[in-house]
Amino acid sequence: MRIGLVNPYALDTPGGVQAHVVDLADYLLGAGHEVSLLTPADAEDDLPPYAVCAGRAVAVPYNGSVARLAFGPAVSARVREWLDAGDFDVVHIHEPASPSVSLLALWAASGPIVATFHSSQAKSRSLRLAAPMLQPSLDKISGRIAVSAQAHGTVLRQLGGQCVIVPNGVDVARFSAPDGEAGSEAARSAHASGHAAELADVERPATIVFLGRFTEPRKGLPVLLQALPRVLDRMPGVRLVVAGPGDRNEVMDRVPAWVAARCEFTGALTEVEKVALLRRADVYIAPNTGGESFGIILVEAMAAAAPVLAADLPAFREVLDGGRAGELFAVADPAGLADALVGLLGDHRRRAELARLGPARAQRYDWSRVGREVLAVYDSVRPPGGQVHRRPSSLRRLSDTRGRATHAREVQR
Amino acid sequence: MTALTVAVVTGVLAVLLAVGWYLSYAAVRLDRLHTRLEATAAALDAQVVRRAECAIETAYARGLDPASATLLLDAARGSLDHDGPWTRERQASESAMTRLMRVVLPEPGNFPEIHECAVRVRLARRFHNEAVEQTRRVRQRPVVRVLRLAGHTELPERVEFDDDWPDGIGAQAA
Repeated sequence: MRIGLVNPYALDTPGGVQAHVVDLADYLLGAGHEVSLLTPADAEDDLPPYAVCAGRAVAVPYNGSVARLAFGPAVSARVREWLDAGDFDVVHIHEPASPSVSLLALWAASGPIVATFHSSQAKSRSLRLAAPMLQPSLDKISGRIAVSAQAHGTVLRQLGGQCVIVPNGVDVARFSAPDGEAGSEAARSAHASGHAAELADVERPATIVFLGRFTEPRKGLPVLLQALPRVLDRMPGVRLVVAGPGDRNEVMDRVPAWVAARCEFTGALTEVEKVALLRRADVYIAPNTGGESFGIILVEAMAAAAPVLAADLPAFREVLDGGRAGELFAVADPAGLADALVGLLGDHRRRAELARLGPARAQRYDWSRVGREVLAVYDSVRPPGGQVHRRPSSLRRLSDTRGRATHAREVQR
Repeated sequence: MTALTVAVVTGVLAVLLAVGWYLSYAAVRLDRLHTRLEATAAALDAQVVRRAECAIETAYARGLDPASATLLLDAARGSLDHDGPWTRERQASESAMTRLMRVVLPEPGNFPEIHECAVRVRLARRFHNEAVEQTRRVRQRPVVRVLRLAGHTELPERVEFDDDWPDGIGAQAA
C-alpha cells in the first residue's frame, strides 16, 4: 500500500504527535508498505529518508500556547505537489484541524482519508469557532481515529462525528531490554525478576523519577516539589531525579535548600538514557494537573517495569487500567501525593507486583498491536482501485456529472 | 429618496449574496459527502467480499473439521450470492455469516487472517454508517430539501447487520 502521512508540527522539536508519527512510519515501512511523510521541519538534512519537508515551521500563538506550524502559499503549493506526486492509496492526516500542513493537506486532498485526533482540550474555543469553516473539509474524512476516550470526547463536542479509538504506540521491547536495544523474551523476564529483587532491597535509598518539560506548570513538577518535604520527613533517603529540558532555577527558587539537595536535574536525555533511568526508578511519578489526552510516558515507564504513581486524570486512569497497573492520587494534591508515595515506597510487595503487571499492561500499546489496528482502519476505508488525488475545483466537479457517473460505475466494478 | 433606494438595493444585494454563499456552501458539502459515501460503500463491499473469500480459504486450508468447514462454505456462498444494494436479504446473509463465524471459530486468535477480515468489515460498516448519518443530517435540512440541492439521488440508508467480533478495535467505544 502507498501511504501518505501528514504531521502538523516541526519534526525537529520533540513532541508526542511527532514521535507517534515517526514510529508509525517506521512500523508501516517494517510491514512492507511504502510511506511518505509530509512535515514541517527546520533543517531538511536531518529528516529521515521517507520524510518530505513542507517548509520551515514558524512559532505562532495557537489555542493558548505557542505551536511551531507551517502555512502560507509556498507551503500550500508543496502540499499540492506532494499529493500529485504521491499516488497514495490512503492519506493519514494527524490533527487534521491544526492550522498547519495538516489542514492544508485535508483541504487539497480527495479520496480515502484517515485522520487521527490527538489532543483533548476541554475548552478549545478556536476549534469551535473554526468548525463551520472546517466542516466541508472534515466531511472528506472517511475514517476518524482518536487516541483515547478523552480525545474522542473532544472531537464529539467540538466537531461532531464518531471515532474509533486506537491508542498511541510504544515499542515495549526497547524499554524492557538492557541498553535500550530490542531483546529476547528471556532477557525481559530476567529483567523483571531482577528489578523486583532490587525493589525489595529495603536498605537502598529510593530513586523517584519525573520526566518531561518541567517548566510547564501543567506537567505538575510544582505539586511534586510541594509534596517532597512531607516525604523526606518520613523517608530522608529518597532522591528525586528530574529529566527533561528546562532551567532548574525557574522551578527551584522557592524550594528549601535541604529539599533541593535531594533533587538532581539531568537535563534532556537521549532515548537510551531515558530507558536506563526508567529502569532504575523505584517509582515513576506523573503529577500532571491536566490537559493530557494520553499518557505515553506512563506506558513507557510500565514497559520499563517502573512502578507508576500518577495523578488521577481520566487519560492516566485509562492507561493504568483503572488503577490496577499503577497507583493514582488526587489531581494537584501535594499531601495526597506524599502519602501515596510514602505508602508505595514502603510497600515492596505492591511495587514488585506493579513491576510485573506494568510490562503486561504496556503490551496493549505495543506497536505490533497498535500498528495492526491502524492498518485495519486504512483497509476499511479504501474502495478497490480508489486513490487519493488532488481535489478538482468544486464547480468543475458539480458540472461534470457525466464523468462522475462513469467513475461510480468503475468503482462498483 | 435616492438614499433610501440605495440602502434598499444594497440590503437586498447583501441578502442575495448571503443566500447564494450559503447555497454554494451547502452544495459543496453535499458533493463531498456524496463522494465520501460512494467510497465508503465501495470499501464496505470490498471488505465483505474479502471476508467471504477468506472464509472459503480457511474452510479449505486451515484444518477445520469437515462439518464446520461445510457450514462456513455455505455461509460464504450466501454472502457472495448477494451484491449491489443492501437489501434486507443481503444484510441478513452477512449477519448469518458473522454468527456462524463466531460459532465455528470460537478462538479467532488461531485464525489471524479471518480475524483481520472480520475486524475490517466491522470498521468499514461503522465508517460507512457514519458517512450515511452525516449525509442524511445535511440532506434533511429544509433548504436542501426544498431546493432539491441533492438532485434526485435517494436518501442513503444505514447498513445494519451483526458484525460483532471479539477483540477488535471496532469493539471499543460506541
